Amino acid sequence: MEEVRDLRMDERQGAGGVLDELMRKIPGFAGYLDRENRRDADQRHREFIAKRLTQKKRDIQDVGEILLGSGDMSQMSALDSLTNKCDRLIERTRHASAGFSSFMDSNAVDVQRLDTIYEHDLALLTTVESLDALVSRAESAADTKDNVGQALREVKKGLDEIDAHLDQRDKILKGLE
Amino acid sequence: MFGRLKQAVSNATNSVKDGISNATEGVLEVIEWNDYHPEMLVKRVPESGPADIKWGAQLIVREAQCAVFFRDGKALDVFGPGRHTLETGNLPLLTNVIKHVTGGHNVFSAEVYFVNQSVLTEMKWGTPNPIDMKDPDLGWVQLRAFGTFSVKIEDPQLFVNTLVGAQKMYTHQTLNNFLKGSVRTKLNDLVGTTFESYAKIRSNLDEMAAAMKIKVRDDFGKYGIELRDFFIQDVSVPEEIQEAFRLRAKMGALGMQGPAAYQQFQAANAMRDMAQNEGAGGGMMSAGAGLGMGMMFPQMMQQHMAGAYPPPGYGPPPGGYPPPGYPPQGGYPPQGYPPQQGYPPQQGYPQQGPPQGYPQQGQAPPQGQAPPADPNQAKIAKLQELVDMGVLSQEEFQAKVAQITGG
Repeated sequence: MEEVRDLRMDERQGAGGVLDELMRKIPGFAGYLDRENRRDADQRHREFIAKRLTQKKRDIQDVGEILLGSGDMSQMSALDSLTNKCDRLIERTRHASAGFSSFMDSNAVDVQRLDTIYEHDLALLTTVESLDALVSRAESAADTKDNVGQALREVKKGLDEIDAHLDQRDKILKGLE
Repeated sequence: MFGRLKQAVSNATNSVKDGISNATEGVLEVIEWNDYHPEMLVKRVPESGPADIKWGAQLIVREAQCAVFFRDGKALDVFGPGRHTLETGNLPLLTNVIKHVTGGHNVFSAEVYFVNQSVLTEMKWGTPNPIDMKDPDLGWVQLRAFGTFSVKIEDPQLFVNTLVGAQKMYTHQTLNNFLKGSVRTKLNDLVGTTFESYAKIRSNLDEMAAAMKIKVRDDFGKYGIELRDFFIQDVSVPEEIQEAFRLRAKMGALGMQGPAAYQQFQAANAMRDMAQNEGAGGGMMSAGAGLGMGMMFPQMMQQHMAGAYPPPGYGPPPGGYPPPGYPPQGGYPPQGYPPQQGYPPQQGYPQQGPPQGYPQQGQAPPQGQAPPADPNQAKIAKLQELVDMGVLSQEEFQAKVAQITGG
């Protein structure tokens, strides 16, 4: 995870180039740039997670395709509910608050808070990756027609965990955690 | 000398100014799509031909947009939401091209396609030609269906390359027209392979919509489009079959089932209609039809309720009915009826003029004709008839007579 974080930060700082270096000479501007870099790095990371979630959604639809191929419509509503949930999580991740605070906001988001958010989003990737095993199990269940409903319920639990993780992110930004 | 020098400086200054003007005229420094409209899927900058873009220009991409950079008909890079400075650092793929083409100048030619990445809702689909389906109850039926769907351009580069570049597809409407053909085909396939009856379709619309999302996934995906929602507003059969469904429900509500039920139901309806139609058949037909229906309905009800009527606990009438002695011995009609001379009388009927003894106009009623001699006699005669019919016993008769006569 450390490597991922450093990679994103390096990407962001490298993108600034000479202009960034010049602007850092302006008093007070370096801190602003640091925060901007963190937000940009976090946004890139969230975009990466959104793409991973999109892949998971396709995997879930693959389960539906297996069932549909054998004419089994019984789990279609459950599968649709899962893919809708994926859509929601993808958009929530992609368009999550970047961590800006207005001048009048008493709850200023400083560099430390942004770092906490960034760490939180890095951990989110682990939760998303843990879906792999659950979706694979659902695929196997669809192949063998063995307890598909239960396997899909497990996938739903995995998605609920991601949802809860994003809720917690909002709380961190608002200074509630 | 001084004048010539001044002229030379002036010429040189004008030359530099022209050069600057030429360099900056039409050169883009800020590229953005701010006149966003939900109907528009793609905005090309510039609208035609390539644009001269200043090296270091700002590209501003809003949320729910992305920008695809094109040069020489090829997509080079995709930019997501944010402010991007077009320079080597963030355009790695362009760097070599620009160096090669511009020879180090600070202007390069390219086109930018802004793609609307919000969810495009209210796309309509329908079946202009009906879908044939073999139903176990109804035989071959023609289904019609319609609804809406929503999509999102998930892979802008693929979308621009496959649909926008080749087919100039810029608006919501053109994309809708293109996609609904695929929806129809897949729906046809789904109905034919997965649903065995119309009733099953009606009861599984949710499942059908979910299955459609999976069915069209690859068709849409190859253009970089993802189907987000699929709604089926209605799946229907032709009006005459719907009418048959309603009729079956009516017959079911009346307790009619089986192959003969339809004929009986129709016969009953026809008679009712004739009875209500006072104009065409006249009073007699109405009366006859009404009578016919009145006679037919109990039979029908009896047939259909055979085995179920009377309900449990509702048995035959209790013992003692009819009372002993009923019907009267000797059968019905009683002897002496009709009268021996026949009825109506052959001669003198109808009577001409008023009946005998009926007072003529202006005359007083005839004397001695009107009331019977003794009202008690009439009562006793009635009681005697009841005794004859077996309604009253002899003892009851005697008691009543004593009561009347005061004896």
